[in-house]
Amino acid sequence: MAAVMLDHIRMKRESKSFTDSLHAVLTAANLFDGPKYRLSGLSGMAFKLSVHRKLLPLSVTAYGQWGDEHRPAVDRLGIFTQADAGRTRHPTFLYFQQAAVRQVKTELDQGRGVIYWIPEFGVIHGYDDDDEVFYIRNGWSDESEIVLYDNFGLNVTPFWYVQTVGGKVDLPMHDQIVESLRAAVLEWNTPYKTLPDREIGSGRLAYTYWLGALDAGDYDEFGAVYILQSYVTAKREIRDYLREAATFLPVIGGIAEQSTRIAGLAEEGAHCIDHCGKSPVIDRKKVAELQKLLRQALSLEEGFIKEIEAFLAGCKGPEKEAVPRWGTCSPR
Amino acid sequence: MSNLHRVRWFDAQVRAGKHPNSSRLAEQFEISQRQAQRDIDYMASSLGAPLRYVAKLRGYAYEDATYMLPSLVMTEQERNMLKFLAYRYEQYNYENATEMNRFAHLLHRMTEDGRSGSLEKKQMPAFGFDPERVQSFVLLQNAMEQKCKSVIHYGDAEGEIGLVIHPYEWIYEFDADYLAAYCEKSMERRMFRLDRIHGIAVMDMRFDIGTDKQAAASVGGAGNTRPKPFRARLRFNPEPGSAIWYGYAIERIEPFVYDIEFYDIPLFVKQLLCSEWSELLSPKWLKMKLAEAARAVLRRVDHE
Repeated sequence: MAAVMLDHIRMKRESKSFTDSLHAVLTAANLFDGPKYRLSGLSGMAFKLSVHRKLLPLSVTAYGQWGDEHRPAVDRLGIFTQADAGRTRHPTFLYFQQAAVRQVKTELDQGRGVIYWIPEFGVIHGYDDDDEVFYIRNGWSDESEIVLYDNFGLNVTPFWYVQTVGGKVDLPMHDQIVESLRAAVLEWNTPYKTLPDREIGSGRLAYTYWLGALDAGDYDEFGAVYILQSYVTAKREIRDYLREAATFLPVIGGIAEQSTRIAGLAEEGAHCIDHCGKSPVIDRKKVAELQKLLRQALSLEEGFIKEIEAFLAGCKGPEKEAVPRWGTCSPR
Repeated sequence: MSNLHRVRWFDAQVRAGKHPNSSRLAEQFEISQRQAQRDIDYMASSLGAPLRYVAKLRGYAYEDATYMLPSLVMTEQERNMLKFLAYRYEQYNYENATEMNRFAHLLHRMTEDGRSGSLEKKQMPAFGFDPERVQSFVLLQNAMEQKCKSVIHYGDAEGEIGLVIHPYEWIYEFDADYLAAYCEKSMERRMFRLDRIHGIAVMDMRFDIGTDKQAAASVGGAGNTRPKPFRARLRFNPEPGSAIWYGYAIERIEPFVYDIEFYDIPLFVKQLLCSEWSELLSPKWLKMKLAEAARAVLRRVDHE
């Protein structure tokens, strides 16, 4: 009976859980060599912002239909990827589950980790046929989580998700940066990414929902902190990414500067978190301050996106450098 | 606590130095003298009242003037919560189980009201004492006992819907309480998270489990997608005396060798660290986790 344990795959929760997982898998497979902010920026993941009307913690991962979000994100890096997902209540779930188990083992046999919805996202880094289990890193603990083959895909949410990565094509850095900025504009201008659900707003609308929830006051305490922390991380990643990108493309220096100001506001917002209690909460006395900072950030980000759009208008080539392989583009 | 008002009256009389006795209590409340004496005995024995009969005055006085009558008012909601607490502690099978069970017995006594309770099921629901949830629990528990169909408003990530269900049993899994029930809409047995049930109406219609099973069988479905438990194989010497080992159901595979099913890995590792067994035969990953936990303990010991 076979067993594989890829101990060199290390995951640490810092960014969005998908980005953390992707970084762990790609770096271990020598498919990406760089800091996490660069991966987050180039893939477009850093630009994803979604907020539930009640600031539920799920906001942080509900940035769209994952198939339409994660595959293009990895495509932008020039890396082959496959994903499968579904509802566990689906009548054929058990067949998909068995197929996914086989696929994951094949990937592990080839030395590559697999991104898996625990939830949130984590990395499958080993299996053991004797015990019929997978070993999973969640990024929080050094200890692996254990999932039986029979329980693969079963979790507290009603859906499952698994994504693998493969070969790599070297894309010019210029093209990758331009494509990531196109992703930033698309994210900003798409208000609903989980239709028909309109309880979660994305991009510009996310700010409106966020401010509205803080106004109403009946928001999820944990979610409010989680969203803010994730927001701060994302803005830092964008800042660091664009500063670095500007060394390749000096013309985007102004855009990078804008991102620095936005990140500064975000970091100020982080001071509205009260860490004194058992678990951190948004200090109710500082809600107005946080709202003010968010309004400033919203205004700055409008300008930031306009500047990106102006830059993109001057870029040659088709509207999208990396055309989606399928899905949102029609066959022709 | 039907004698509460009499106890309070008697207490007030004693405090006022009026030296009441069973005759006056009986007279005041138009009860028999024997009943009145039982109330006084109840005060002395169960409520700890330091009552002393003063023969000269033919009435009672307190030996300790600082004695306070315990607060005896218990609302129906409090009774339900205590009843549920009793149920939880009664099912508690981990550390200090004996004390917990004794506590459960005490709580049972506090909530005794003459009604037949059938809360002694095998599963152990566990939820915080959110009044709405306790209320949901009580309503559905009653529907379960009476085999009454119920309408629930059930909300999940996809919205809230009204469903007619046949409540069967409580199941506690993965830090959440579930109601196992037959759903008339999907015609199958489903699990409903208790905290997602909002609004319950118990109907005046009975259900039959046998009929439900037939209906569910005719529909089929995706199969059982409930998570399976982990399984550990252990050697014991001597063999365990019963089919339950610290609350875990065990299955004898061969002499001295047993399989144990569990869901919560840290809890099971903790159990292995503090109980008697001879050898952990499988799985390998559990041996690793146990070894790591043991090493962590040793590291702490070394630090000391």
